[in-house]
Amino acid sequence: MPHGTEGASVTFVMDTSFWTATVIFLLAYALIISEKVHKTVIAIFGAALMLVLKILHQHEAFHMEEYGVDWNVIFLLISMMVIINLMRPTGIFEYIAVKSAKAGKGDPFRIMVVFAIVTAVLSALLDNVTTVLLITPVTLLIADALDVDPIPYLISCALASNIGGTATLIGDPPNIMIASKARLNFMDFIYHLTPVVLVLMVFYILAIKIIWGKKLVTRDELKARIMSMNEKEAIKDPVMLKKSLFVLGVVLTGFVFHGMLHFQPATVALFGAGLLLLLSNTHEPHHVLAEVEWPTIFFFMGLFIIVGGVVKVGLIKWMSLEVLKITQGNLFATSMVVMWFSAFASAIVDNIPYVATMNPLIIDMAKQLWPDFSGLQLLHHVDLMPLWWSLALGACLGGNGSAIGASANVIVVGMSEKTGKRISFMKFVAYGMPIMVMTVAVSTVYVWVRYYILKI
Amino acid sequence: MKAKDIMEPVKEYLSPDDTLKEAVNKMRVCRKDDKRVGVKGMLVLDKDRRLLGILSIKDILHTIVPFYLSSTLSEFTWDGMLENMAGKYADRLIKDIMTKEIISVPENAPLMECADFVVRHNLQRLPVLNEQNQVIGIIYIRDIYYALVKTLFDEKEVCE
Repeated sequence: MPHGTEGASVTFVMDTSFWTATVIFLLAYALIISEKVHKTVIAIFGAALMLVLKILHQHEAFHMEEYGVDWNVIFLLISMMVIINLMRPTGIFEYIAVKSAKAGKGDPFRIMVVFAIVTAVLSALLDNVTTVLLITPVTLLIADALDVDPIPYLISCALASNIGGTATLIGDPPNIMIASKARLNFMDFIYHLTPVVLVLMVFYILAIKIIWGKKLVTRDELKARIMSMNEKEAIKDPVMLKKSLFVLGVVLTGFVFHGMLHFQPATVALFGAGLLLLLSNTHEPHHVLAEVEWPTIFFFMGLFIIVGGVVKVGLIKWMSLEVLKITQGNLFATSMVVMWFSAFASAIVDNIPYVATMNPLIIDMAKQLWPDFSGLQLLHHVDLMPLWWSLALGACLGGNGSAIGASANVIVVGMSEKTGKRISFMKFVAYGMPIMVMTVAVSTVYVWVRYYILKI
Repeated sequence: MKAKDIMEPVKEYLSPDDTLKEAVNKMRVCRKDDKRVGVKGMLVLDKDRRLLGILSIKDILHTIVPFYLSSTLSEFTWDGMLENMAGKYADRLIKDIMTKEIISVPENAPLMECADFVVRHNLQRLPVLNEQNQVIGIIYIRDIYYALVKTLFDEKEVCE
């Protein structure tokens, strides 16, 4: 037991349950990567195995934050989905998209830039998947109107949404998960991540200028098609639109102040969802609730339990010790390793299971480093904070690295198939990987300068 | 009466490898007896006359309406878009755009079975298959109706 002796808090042994849990965890990961079985099915079955084989007690899985389902994440996701499902039929997203195309004056590249910015902002405030689902149809329509290749627009939409989603607590699932585990609030993300995302967007726009700037051309008479569109026709339900915007305003304000008011983000979102359901006068909440992406929700729940199992048996602690050995306790080196490893890992694996694993790993690492600290003192240790931001940046931006790196990418690839011009895996990588490397490189400089040189 | 008693023979049909444009042409010049009539749908059969699908004019329109149009986006189309799309999709293969889930009846199916399918699934045509699953005829909704007409009025009355 060479690892059992390091650090005072190490109390695990590599017994049968250690190996059982480890095998379930590794098999689940392998199956998720192989895509042979639907990831949600794997997560549910893996979680059930953790319980049946008595790695975890049901009470631990259902009611304990350390080993079980993180209900803060679950309810935040469900509530935001409900709000968006109620907003969608109003036509607001089509309105914004058509308005953006007109703001681009019908010029194909300018439209691409405006779409990238709008997609990034919407991804930051809502979530990437919804944004991409709502924006891409309009993108395809505009591309047909201008008689230009829709593929660059689709790829750009996914890339911009992954960059934009990095900016806020609610923008991307990794951030939601990190916020909950590390007890960080909405304004922490605004303060630490939004500035770098703004810089990243500038770099991104320069990059797409180089990649597609000259290739996207159209004829003047086709631009007139865009300019003659009347975005107001998109609004289907002005009354519900006003209610939705009001509730969205309440929710966003709630997020800004939730730290101060001592509310969890899920409380704010749940209040918004409840309020909008009430205001919508719906007698059929059934279909609004049915449209919640239950497979995603159950994927999260299953993963939390699977990861809880390997946390309990000590696998994660063992991994954290190994990481510390490699970086020899140097926190700058650790945060760089975390950021770059997270980026490449998220490009290959779904970033949700990845972050579910990394969160407890970082907490275990912190426990090794500062055995006398606990609670918020430990989670928000000044030397630990850059690690959280590195994890968030790596895991979110890494999503751009491949066609399966993020749900948004999977959606645009699916859309491209329907247009008859499939974006191949390698084609996506050819654009996504350089963008990922560029954005992570800029983030590296940001973390290094901000937290290790300026220390602010 | 049974399906085989009222079915019409299938003389012309589409091949799965026809393009949309070829299919439109075949449907346009389809003959019935000696008259050029044009049809609103045609069966898609393989070499052994086994049923692969049906292509109707609705399937054709469905193909050229872009999938991304939704109830919220149809207002943003432009004059000439349909014509553009028709050109763009003219080379799509029939096997990719035909309706593949087809309800058919065996040759000895009673007429009530045929009528039930037509009403329940809102069908215009029912292919009739023999025991080897080959298409030997087709029943249109009107053929079943004519059978009903004949029951209510004898030949003489119909003529009058």
